[in-house]
Amino acid sequence: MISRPLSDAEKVFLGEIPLFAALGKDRLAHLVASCRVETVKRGSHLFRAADRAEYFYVLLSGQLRLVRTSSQGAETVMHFLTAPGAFAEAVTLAGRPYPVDCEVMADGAVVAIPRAAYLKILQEFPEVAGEVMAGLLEWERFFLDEIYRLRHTSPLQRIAAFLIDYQDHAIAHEQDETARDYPEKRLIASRIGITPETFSRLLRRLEQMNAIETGATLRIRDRAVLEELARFS
Amino acid sequence: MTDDFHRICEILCRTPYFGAWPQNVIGELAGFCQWKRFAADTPVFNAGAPATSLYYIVNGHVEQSYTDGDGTAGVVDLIESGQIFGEYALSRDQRYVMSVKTVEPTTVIEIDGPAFARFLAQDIERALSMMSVITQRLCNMLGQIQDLKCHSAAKRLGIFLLADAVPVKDGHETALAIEKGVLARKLGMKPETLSRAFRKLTEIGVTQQAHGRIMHIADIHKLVDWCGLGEDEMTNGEDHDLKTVI
Repeated sequence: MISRPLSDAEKVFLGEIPLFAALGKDRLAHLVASCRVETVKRGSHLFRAADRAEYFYVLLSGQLRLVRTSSQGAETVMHFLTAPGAFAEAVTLAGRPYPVDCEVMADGAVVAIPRAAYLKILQEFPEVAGEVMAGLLEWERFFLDEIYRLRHTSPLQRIAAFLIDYQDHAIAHEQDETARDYPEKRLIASRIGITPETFSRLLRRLEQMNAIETGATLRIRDRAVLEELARFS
Repeated sequence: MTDDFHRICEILCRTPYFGAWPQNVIGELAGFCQWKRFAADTPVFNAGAPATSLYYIVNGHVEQSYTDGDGTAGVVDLIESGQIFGEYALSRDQRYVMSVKTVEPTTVIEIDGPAFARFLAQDIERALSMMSVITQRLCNMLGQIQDLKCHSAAKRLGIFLLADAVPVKDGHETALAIEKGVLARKLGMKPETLSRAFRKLTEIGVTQQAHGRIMHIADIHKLVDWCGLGEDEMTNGEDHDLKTVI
C-alpha cells in the first residue's frame, strides 16, 4: 500500500462530505494534516474483521466489498462500496473492532482518517457530534432497507432491484464503462442473499424475458421489464 | 418534583445507555422526559411524520415497519423493554423513516428530540454514549442481514431459541414470551412458515411444552451444530448476542 498526503482537489472533496463539512474550514484543515491517501490494490484487504478500528475511511476511487465470515467459514457479501464516500466511521468512533473484512475489488485510493484525530476535534467541539450521529443514521436507514428487502421481497425482485440500483449508482457517480461492470455473479448472489444455483436459474429466466443478457459480463437489455419486476414480482 | 420525574430518574440510572452518568446529568435528562403508556396495537408514530421524540421502552414490545420507495410496508423488527427507538429525531431531516406500533400494552419514557440533541451537543461523552447506542444497533442489523441471507427459517428459529435457552435437568428450555404470530413477524416469516420451522426442529430434538409456551431442547450441542453456529457464538459477548442478531 502506497501512502501520500492529500492533493488540493482531494481536500476540497473531503470538505464536501457532511461528516467533514460540519467541522468548518479551520478544523478540517487541522484534521487533513493527519490524514493520508492510501492506494489499494485489487485482492488486498484494507482491514479485517475483529481488527481494532483505528481509522475510518473515505473511498476516492476503486471498488471495495465488505464481507462477513461465519465461524464455519462461509462468506457473505454485505455491501459493495463503489461510489466515493465515508465508511467504517460508526465502529471506529465507537471504539469497536471492524465487524467485516474490507477487500479491494478494483484498484483505487482511500483517505485514512485517524480515530484519535477526529475524536480530539469532537472533544473540543462536541456540537459537531450531531452531524456524526446523523451520518450514522444514514447507515441505519441503508440497513433497514436491506432488512426490508430480505424479509419482504422475492429473489427475482431483489435481482431486478440490484441490477437497476447498481447501474443508477454508477451513472450518478459518473463512473466509466469498466467501473459500471457488475461484480462477479457469485458475489451478487451473496450480496442479495440468494444461493448461486437460484441466482443462475433466475438469470436464465430474465434472459428469456429479454430483460438482460448474460455472458462474460451482465448487461441490462430492457430496463422497463426489470423495473416492473422489481416492483411486483 | 413529580413522582414521574423520580421514577424516570430511577429507570434511566439503570439503563446501559445512561447508567454511567452522574446523578445531576440524569436529572437534567429526566427534565425533558415524560412517562407514557400505550394500549396494545396502538401507533406510536408513522413513517414520514416529524421526528420529535425518542422512546425508551420500560416494558412491553413495539413493532417497527419500514415502507419502501413504492409505499409497501413490512415489519423489520420487534423491539422490547430496555431498548431505544425513534432515534431519527437526531437525523438531518428529523422525520421518522419507519412506523412503530405497540404489540402489547407498553410503557415508555418519551425523550424530547430537540432538547436531547442540545443536551448531547454540550458534552462529548454524552454524544459518544448515544453514538455507541446507534453503532450497537448497526452491528445488530448487520448480524440480522447476514442471518437472513445465510439461514433458513428453521435455523433462524433455532438460533432464536438458543439465545434464551436455560439448562434444566434433561436438557435446555426456552420460554416464549411473545405470541407465535408476533414471533413470526420478528423472525421475518409467515405464520405457516413458522409452524413448518417448529415441525422441522422436532427432528433436532426441540419439542413444545406447556401449550407451546416453553420449548424443550434435548441436546443443545446438536441444535448449535445444526444451526451452523460455532460454540464460541453461544457466548454472550457483545458481538455474539444471538437474540439481538435475530
